[in-house]
Amino acid sequence: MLAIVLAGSLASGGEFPGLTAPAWAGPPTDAVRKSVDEVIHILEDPAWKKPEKKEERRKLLEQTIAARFNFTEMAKRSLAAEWAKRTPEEQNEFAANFQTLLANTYIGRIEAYSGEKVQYIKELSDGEYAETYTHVDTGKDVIDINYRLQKNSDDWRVYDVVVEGTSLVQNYREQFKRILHKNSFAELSRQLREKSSNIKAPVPDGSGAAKGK
Amino acid sequence: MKDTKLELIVGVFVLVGIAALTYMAVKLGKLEVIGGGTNLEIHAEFDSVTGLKAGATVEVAGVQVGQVKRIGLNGDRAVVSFTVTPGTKLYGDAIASIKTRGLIGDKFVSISPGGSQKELAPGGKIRETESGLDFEKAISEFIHGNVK
Repeated sequence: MLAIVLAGSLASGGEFPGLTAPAWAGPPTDAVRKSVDEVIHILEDPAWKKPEKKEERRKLLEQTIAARFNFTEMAKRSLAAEWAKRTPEEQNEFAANFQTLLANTYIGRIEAYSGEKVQYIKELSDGEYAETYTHVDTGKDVIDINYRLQKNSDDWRVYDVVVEGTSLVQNYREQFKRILHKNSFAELSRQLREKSSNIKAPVPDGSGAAKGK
Repeated sequence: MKDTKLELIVGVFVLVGIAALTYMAVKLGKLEVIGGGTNLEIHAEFDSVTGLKAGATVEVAGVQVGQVKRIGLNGDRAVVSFTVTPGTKLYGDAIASIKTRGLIGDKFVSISPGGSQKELAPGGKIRETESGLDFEKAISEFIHGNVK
């Protein structure tokens, strides 16, 4: 799902008159829009579409996304009460593995981008927190995706993504809680490390076949 | 003399009956006449609370810790105010979700308490909320099909 989260292009309005008028859009929406546009720009650039550039492009995409997403905050919120009990080293390692897990889970779908349109619907803000509502039009369905952002020294970073009413952080929090209920943190950490290295997304399209030949 | 005694017995009987009825009404209606003031009130804003009613339960890990007091509107969002029993620890990164008991059961509020350093104060607001999947929308799309 996060695929569609980032894959999309800027569409100003028409279908939702009054709601998509860009006049009200604040810095949080601008921040999301900037990153989404950057990602789409990379995805649509013919120079990056060459099979030999796949690995390099994937790295660039990950960097672009990491600049907007606060993976440490996502890991912290997903781990909830357990986070404070861990040492800074354990926290760092966990956050890094969590980032790899998310990247490996979603990057393949982001790379499968094919012209989906993103509409910016509305923005809610409350001090240093904000939520940007977007619709991703795949041509077949319209998917609701909300980005939750927090302001860190003048920069808005995403700490949660809500797809069709379900939160990414809540999803992982429930899973981590279930694992921690039965096992130790070390075991969870090990599972996460293993999982994040296992599900390396396959490089899409012709390049896989090209490699085979 | 005999009449007075009989009347007294009837009077007491009626009073006991009224007391029992009141107790039942309070219990069944889940009203909090006494001791309700000590509960902490927390608010949460949702995009939609379809089907949630005042009096619905509020749960943490499946354990009831409170109930919904009021549901109102703030602009185009639903504001749910609920009480939680003292001793329930909720933090700044708590997530409130609207859940359904079974497939077509009652709606209730489920809270994942979180664990950031900031504990939620009485009268505080849970920022992170999930309205959940709209089953009717999904079923309707399934029955009638999508446009494209």
